[in-house]
Amino acid sequence: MAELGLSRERMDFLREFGAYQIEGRYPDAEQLEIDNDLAREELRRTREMLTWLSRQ
Amino acid sequence: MVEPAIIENVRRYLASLPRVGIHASRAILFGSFTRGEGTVESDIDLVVIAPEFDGRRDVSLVKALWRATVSDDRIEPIPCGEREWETGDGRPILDIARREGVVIEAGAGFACRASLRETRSCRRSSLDAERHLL
Repeated sequence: MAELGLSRERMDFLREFGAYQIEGRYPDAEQLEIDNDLAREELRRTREMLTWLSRQ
Repeated sequence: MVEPAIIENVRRYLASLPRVGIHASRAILFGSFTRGEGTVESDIDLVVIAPEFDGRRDVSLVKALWRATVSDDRIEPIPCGEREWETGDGRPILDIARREGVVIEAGAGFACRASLRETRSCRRSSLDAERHLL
């Protein structure tokens, strides 16, 4: 990650997103309940991150 | 035997959690590192037990739990409430942690098997815990 020159904010975002990957690894684990507004915001941030990454 | 460096990293991680509003009493390390199969690329599977995770889990706290993994990028924390852990209810993943996991007390200098019923003695005194040192 250091080679990408990620800002603290982007590193925090990537770390935080681990919270959503547990389902893939442990399908029987409970899932976080998030409302529509948060889901939309997370998708927006994810798209922004993908766009940034694709430009590196 | 769990590598001391892994236990130390987990302790540092637990010590950082109060700053984000999570007061974990202990964590359960399970997975490859408790089976002696962990490598530098292995995840550090960790059930983090804190009162803040009882009841409906706050998304922002769970995200903070992940954000705090700066002490070791390999840590994959699974939140668990104090009551949830003590009562034994709930998720299959916790059963795995109970079966093969190692208890790492926040701020303490020892670790012991989660499957031992006597693990509660580890919390009472380090002298008792000496009997269960890995």
